[in-house]
Amino acid sequence: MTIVLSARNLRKTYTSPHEVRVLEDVSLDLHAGESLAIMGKSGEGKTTLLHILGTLERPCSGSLHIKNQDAVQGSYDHLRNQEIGFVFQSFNLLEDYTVIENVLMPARIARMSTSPSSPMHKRALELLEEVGLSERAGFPAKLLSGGEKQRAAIARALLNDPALLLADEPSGNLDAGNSEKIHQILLDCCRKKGKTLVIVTHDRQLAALMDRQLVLKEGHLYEKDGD
Amino acid sequence: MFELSIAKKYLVPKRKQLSVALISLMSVSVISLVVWLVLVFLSVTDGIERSWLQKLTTLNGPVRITPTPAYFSSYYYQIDNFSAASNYAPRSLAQKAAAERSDPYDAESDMALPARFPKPERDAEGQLLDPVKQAALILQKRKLAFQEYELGGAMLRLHMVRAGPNIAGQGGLPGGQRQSFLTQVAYVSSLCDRNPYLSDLVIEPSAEDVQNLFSLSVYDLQNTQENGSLPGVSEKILQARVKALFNQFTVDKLATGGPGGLAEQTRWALPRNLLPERFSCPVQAYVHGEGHGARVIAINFLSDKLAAKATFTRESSKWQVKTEAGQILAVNEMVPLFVEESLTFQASLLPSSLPRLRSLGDVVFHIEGQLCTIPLKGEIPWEGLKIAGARPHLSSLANTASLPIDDKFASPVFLPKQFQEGGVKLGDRGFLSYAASTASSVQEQRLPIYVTGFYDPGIMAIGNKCILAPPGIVHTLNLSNQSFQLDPSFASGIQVWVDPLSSAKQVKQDLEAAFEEAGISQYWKVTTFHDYDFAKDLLLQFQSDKYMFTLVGGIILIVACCNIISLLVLLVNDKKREIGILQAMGARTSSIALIFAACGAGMGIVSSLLGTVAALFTLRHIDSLAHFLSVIQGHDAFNAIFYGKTLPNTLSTDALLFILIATPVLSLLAGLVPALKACRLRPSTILRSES
Repeated sequence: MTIVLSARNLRKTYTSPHEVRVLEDVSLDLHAGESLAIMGKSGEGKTTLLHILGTLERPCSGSLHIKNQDAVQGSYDHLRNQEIGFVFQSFNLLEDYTVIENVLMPARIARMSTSPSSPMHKRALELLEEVGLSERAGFPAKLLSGGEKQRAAIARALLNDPALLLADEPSGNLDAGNSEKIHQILLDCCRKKGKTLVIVTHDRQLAALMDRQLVLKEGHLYEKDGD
Repeated sequence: MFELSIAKKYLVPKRKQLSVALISLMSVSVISLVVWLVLVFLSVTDGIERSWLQKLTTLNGPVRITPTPAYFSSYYYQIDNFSAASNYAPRSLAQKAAAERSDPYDAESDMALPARFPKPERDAEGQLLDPVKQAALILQKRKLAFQEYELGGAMLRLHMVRAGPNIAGQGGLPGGQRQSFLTQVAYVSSLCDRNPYLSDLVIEPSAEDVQNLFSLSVYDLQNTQENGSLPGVSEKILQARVKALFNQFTVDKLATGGPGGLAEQTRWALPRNLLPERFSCPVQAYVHGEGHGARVIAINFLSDKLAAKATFTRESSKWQVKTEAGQILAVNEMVPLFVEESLTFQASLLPSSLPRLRSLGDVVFHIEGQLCTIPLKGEIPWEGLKIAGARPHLSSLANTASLPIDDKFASPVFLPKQFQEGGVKLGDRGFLSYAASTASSVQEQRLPIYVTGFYDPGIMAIGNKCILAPPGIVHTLNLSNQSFQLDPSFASGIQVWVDPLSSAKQVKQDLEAAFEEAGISQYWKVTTFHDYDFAKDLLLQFQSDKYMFTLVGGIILIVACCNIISLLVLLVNDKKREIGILQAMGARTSSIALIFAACGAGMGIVSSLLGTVAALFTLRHIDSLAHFLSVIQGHDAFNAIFYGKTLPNTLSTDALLFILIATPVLSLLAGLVPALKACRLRPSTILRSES
């Protein structure tokens, strides 16, 4: 199977206000269509790892390749725009824009046409249909409920058809019903669309649905031992 | 472009972001205000500079060609002194240009030349090199407006006769005139009638000037009596003069208070034929006697209606006054009617009255006007009324610069407008006096002149002392004047008028090259207005003022644009989370920077446009603004001598260009500071802290 993400010996140390070693020689390979849950206690560095994997943050050392492209050296904005989709715990929609504008934003950043007749616009509507928000397309994002916001965020993350989907506690702010919907959508993305999914979560049930479960502890990744 | 759409979204005020909206509005207002101020200020100063430049280069052409010492020591110049054809005197440049022969010397009839006389410079064909004709040819080829000029000096003596009553101690004379004299040393410059801007220089004659011309037409000014009084002219001469004046001017307004009126011209005898068939008006009636013996001896129409105690009415042929006591008295035809109010009438001459006239009082006008509420209309003789409006037939005045003065010996001269302000009027006569040597002594010579017009000398140093006279007069003065010597290279030359003024330096270079090619460059010095002694300092001062004002404007603009920095820093803090989200979606740091730089530039562009529109509006109404400022200050806010009659109201293109470039650029630079701040934001940190 195609390796989508390959991380070797990732290290991350925060030096301010005092030195904290967050990641120590973290290595990881992820294949297309594979899903991974990263678990661990709060403050262990799960989000840092996710941000490093998503090129939002640079590791102090180590290498990271996403779809065979170096994601540590040089500029990787394009890589982030085309190959990575983020889903955040707090949704991170642009509140002053409508749902469809939010979904289309990655395409606009990529300077693609987003006019109503463009393929990207059509794709955005399809994605909203898939997440059950087609009727909310013209709605201001700030008026959506939490579950709707997260579904819109997933649609946005999928717009540019990325290979890697990174989710940071995607259902952390949602009720059980909405959480289940979100989990289902994410797993569908992984299983039906062949996306590689990395989820940082405390939710054991959600983690159990993933192909692999890793625990981050004292800077190292361990296979979950069933505790 | 997504950066611009985001920037627009950030800048458009939103209700929930009142602080940003307010600061944004304030920044735009401050910059617009500065743009307005700078544009108005620079436009006005630019306009003043242009108007002064125009004044500088109207009378004196923007390019001047003056003879060098080599010219004066050349055979070509010196030979005139030995030639009968040139009357044994140096010819002026204009005479040389018009002369048939370049070399007037005839070896057979003229005296022998001295041994060390300069050798003639000849061209390739062996002909005497004619620098004047060559220069004229070069100028004609370039289709430039040019004219030879000469400058001299003399004592100006003017004899000013004013019609009016005798007043003791004021030069009153038996004939009912007042006379005064004016003596002043003056420069006399030849009138360049080929100057394309001459009509701009000449000041339109005022109604008073025209009145003076008519008043003087009755006198024989050349034959002052021994007692100082002036005799009148014959009817024939008067008729010819008045007819000629009416050919020159159209008198269209008359007003009360003219010569011939009573009591210092404040009271006018109203002809009855002007009054309508029916009217009623409050008046002051002078009644003699009482009871049945009472009779009206005079009626006075007053401007002060409260003082009027009687009512004057007319019902067809029935004229009567109702007194304050209620007594009704008939007003017979002999009772004079006076008007104390100042009245102005629309007037038109009845030409049929001219052939018969024996005095100005025989000229008949048809007038229309209003007294109180009574319409006045009819034909009246020109008595007790002065000219209040006259239209000169400019084509004849400006181009021929001549008035119908039947003195074939007097020459028409234009005086600087300062003389007009000093009481000199059109038609005043006098002479130019100079000392000339004769065989035995130095004698005073007089050249008779009359004032044919006034001109605006602009800001030339000798401007208010410079008379414009026919070239012949100036040349005569220069040939024999012993009392007024000027540097020869200053006293004559060729004026060249170019359009636009900015091409003056180019024209100079072109002429110098052409003179060089024609082999006459050693005889001529070409200068532009930038080098004129009387203009140099002023132009330099204008230039440094302009630089200083632009610098001050630039500094104020920078300060105003600094507002943008504080606004955008606030905006960056406000939009931190959005920046992080955009970066998470792949937005480049350069795109993030561009968003905020675009915000700055956008504000600059909007402010520039608003300020420009406001400046255009202000400039269009600049006179109202000047009037308002004058009212506030209690005196003229802008001195007409410096700023002109009206303030310049054209938007300066230089200032506009400066503003339209400087403001967006400064705003963009101001936007870069917060843009750099936004670039430094780490998406990971933002998203972590905002979650």
